[in-house]
Amino acid sequence: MDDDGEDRISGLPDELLHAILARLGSPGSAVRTGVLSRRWRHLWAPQPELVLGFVLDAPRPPLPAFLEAVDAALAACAAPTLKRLCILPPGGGGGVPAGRLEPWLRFASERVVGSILLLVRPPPETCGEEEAVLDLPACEGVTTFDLSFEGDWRLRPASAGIFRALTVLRILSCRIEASELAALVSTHCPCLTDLMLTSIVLVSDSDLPIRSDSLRSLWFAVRKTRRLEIVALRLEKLCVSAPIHEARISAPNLAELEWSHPVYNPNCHHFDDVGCRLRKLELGLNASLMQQFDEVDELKLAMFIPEGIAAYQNFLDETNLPKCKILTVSSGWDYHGLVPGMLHLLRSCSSMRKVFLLDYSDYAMRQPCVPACPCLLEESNRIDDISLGSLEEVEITSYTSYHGALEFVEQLSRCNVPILKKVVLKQKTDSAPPPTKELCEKIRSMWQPNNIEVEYCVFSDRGECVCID
Amino acid sequence: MASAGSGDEKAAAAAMITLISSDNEKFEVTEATATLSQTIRHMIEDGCTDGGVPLPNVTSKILARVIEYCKKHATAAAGEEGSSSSFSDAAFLEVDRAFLEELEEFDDAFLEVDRATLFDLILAANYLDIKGLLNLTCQKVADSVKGKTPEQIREMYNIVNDLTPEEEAEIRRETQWAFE
Repeated sequence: MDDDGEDRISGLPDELLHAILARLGSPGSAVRTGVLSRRWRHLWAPQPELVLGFVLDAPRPPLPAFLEAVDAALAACAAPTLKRLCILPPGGGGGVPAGRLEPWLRFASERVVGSILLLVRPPPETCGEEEAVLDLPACEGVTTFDLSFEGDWRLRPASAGIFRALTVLRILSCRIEASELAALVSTHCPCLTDLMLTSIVLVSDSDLPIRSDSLRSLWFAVRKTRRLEIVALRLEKLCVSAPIHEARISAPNLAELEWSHPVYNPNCHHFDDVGCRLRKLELGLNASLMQQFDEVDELKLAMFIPEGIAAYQNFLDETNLPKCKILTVSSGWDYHGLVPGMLHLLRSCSSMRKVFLLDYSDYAMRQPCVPACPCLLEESNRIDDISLGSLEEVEITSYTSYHGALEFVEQLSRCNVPILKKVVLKQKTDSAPPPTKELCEKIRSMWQPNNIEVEYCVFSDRGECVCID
Repeated sequence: MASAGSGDEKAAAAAMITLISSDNEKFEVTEATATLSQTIRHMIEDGCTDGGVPLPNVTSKILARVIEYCKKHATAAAGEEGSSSSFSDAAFLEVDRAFLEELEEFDDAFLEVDRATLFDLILAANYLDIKGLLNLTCQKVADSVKGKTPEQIREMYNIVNDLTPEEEAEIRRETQWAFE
């Protein structure tokens, strides 16, 4: 301590205090000086952003020049902290070695108190057999981290240090060791709420345990996962879109589940501590997963009925719908199963308020009926046992041909739908045959007696939608 | 202290500059030493160093230390320049490393000063625009703050906390992650 007890440091001009704060080597240390006194309160305040990229449409700078420009810009950054760092190198130019990227990440770990977006271009080809590894230091001040890789990279998170402020982490397309990924999520990111792992491949086939008390949303597309174990008290949204041999999921607050990977096997994929009620469930070709739940507010599923009566029967067995309010079905190319399949779904759930059908079936490509075709079975066209006392709105979108939609609407108009208010038909402009006013009138006439509003419109590839009166 | 460095032939042959401290002490240094300061370099370029360069913001005590730093680093810079063509690569690297090590030792010893002197050096380095010295001294302060609690930093630098407890609590709340 100085003998005279004078506060010399606070008397330094701002620029010198910035220079000192910028050399602390950790944004947390800089931020903590904010409570020293009023003089220090805003000294550490972040520079809004540093965006180092190239302008689309403009001539791309050569890669080496760009790398040097990034180094220079980071070296020239005088602000003690930075709110947003964005580095998007141009492609081509022989690749970027890890050694050029690591100082950038170090800078991020020392200065950033907000978000980072880093696009990692492919490593140089000269690496040959040797794998390209990027070491990820702990960045304590970063709140949102977007890390996208191109080429064959392995990401190696630091074994020490904590991402104290990190809430959103999105990693795209790299390899990573399972134990390192597990440690990153489970112990190094205590505030992580949103995790998106897209096109990630584990270094070898491995088990992956994820334990987090903070995680609310997990997008999981990690290949080579032998056994996925999730224990996440606060997890609300889960999306699994990569094949997993085995899964054990404990997430008592799970409200939205998307299982878009076709493989689901109740003997291997266990939902241990998950409620019976979901806000949203989205399934690919794995309808049997819905049996896990009694009640789903919004259910989305893909209907795929293979040819033959056995397959159809299997579909019927697998798709006893949970109680749901909104049902969205996208149907595949099979025309014969479309209407019987839809009627079956309506029959198995009387609570729905809205039904959306996205019809991709192609009337022109349909095969002739096989002997035991679902569309010939008497019971599959029965409507007297269908009661849709809650149904208010039906919307059908036809992408290829409208025959399926027409047939379905015709059947539906004869069902018991006491409070149905609106029927919307959307048809793609290039579907066959083209939409006509006559067709519109035909559909209107089906519903006219019941005073139900019919909206009929066409849409193009670009999504423009025009109503036909 | 007040005379110019004499070892280097190049430096001895070079023009001399007189620096005048705030307490009117005169220091004669070589141009090579003086031009580590961008401020003085610009004055030399503008031809306004005749009759000495007055430095009203720098005391003789601090100026002497600054000159000591500049002499050492000017010699090192000259040594590096001179060696690049006359040594083989390996020998050059060897010499280079020896220079750097010596320089590092010098810097460490140079920073063994009391806090008041350290802040005077920072202000002088800033005023004279000597990048290396500014970096060195700022880093020294930063290192002393690293890993310390706000209470420890206040005590170390005699900072009076004029925030109300409510204000301090609010700041801590806003930047909670840094305090966990």
